Amino acid sequence: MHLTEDELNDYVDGLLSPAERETMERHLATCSLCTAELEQVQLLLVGLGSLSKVVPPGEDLLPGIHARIAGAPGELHHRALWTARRPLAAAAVVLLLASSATTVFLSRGGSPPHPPAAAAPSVPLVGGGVAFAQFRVLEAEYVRAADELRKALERQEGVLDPATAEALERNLRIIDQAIRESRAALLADPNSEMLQQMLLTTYERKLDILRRVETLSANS
Amino acid sequence: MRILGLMLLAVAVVCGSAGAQQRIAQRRPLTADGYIKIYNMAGSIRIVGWDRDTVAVTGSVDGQAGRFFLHTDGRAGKLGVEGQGEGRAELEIRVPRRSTVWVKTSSAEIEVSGVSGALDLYSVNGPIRVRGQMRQVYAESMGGNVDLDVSAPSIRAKNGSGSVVVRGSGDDVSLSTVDGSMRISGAHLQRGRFESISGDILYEGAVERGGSTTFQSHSGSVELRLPARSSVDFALSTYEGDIRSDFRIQDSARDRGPRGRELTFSNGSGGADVSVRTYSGPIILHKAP
Repeated sequence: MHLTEDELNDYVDGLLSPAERETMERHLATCSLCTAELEQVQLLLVGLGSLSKVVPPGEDLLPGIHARIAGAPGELHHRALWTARRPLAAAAVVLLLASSATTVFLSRGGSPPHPPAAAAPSVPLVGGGVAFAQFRVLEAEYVRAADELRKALERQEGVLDPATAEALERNLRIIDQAIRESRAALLADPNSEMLQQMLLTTYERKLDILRRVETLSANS
Repeated sequence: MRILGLMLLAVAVVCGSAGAQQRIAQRRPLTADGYIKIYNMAGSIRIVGWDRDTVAVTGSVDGQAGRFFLHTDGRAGKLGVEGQGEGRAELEIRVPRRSTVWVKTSSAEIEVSGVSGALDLYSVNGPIRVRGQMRQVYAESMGGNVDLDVSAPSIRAKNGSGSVVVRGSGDDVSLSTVDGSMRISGAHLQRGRFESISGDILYEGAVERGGSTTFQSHSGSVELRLPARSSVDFALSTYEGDIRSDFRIQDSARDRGPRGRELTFSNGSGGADVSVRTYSGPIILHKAP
């Protein structure tokens, strides 16, 4: 019998009674799998703690997103291992990064973040300094993060209680309809900063609702 | 016949114990600014802050609901119902006033009052109600209504199809829903962000000079009822919604492309930024009486 995620989190949060802590530490001393899981929880906390709460305008986030999602070769093995063990945690980090990028996008009054360095010279700026190509890059990151979260939740099928699953589907239907409408409008009017911003915040809502289901369903 | 009688008696005892209610009356020490985690999937959770360094729980747990537990180590603790099945638990929990309180439920009603620390409340479908002054409040639901009558530097609420109602004041307020309605009344805030996909947003209150407030709804309406003498810089934009305003709009409209409309104008001397954005929902500005 291995330790549950809840037990590991409580251990890290210092919420166990002395007796529970002792029992757990005895198990950890003999179980490499649980020890590795514990290290992942601790690493995640350290990683989340090190993320800046406020992203200063002008910071270039997209290269970081690309590096982490698409993955430099050296990071692929770690990412695959981590993703396999904690898919939702991995997607949550993707969400944080994508949201931060949008924060930069919105805080610039619609000017999207710098594109990846390799693409920078060739990205044309149109209508008030907004590059549709840059927007599409950011949108792709959102779609990818949402797909990743969705797949992770699907892998948990049966874990979600019916009420949560029903609420999720209802909310996603509404969000996806809004995305379809905004995208169709944006294709007709690709320079519209307003449509770009609305679409990105709608994606943000989608990621948020998926992440929320993970929070609510964990160990429920 | 005697064997049959004994068997019936045994069945009755088993059924009786399964359906029996477990009465709860427990208390444990917790430091004045301690941290407590509460789990109860169904029923009710009533949390009240008090001036003792103790967590005290009273209430009842259905026999089918699971086993009640309460552990603390002085500075942190957790309580709830373990292995909760179909049954409900009705819990009244007293916590040190300055505690940080974390709650997770599926359908239980959450009610909090008198806690001045931080609150983190998570629910699938149960309603959440919070009253009082606190350091910060974060409420998250998928379908339960969220009602916050609070004064806190930081107020955050996220919902899906449930409504969000906020009364009170905050330096930084951020609310979002999917199709749930949102109502903010009597608010005094420095920075606000209110977003919905298809829910209607109604804001009744003042906007502080130097403050910044943004509203966004894809297809829901955004209605602002502001004091007539507000000094506000408005930026309104909609793709295919209507804009109606009791405030005089100077001629600053400009096309946004094939469709869409943007208006920027000031009332009074300006100084507070109010930005509203919709796709198809109407934008309505009213002067409050």
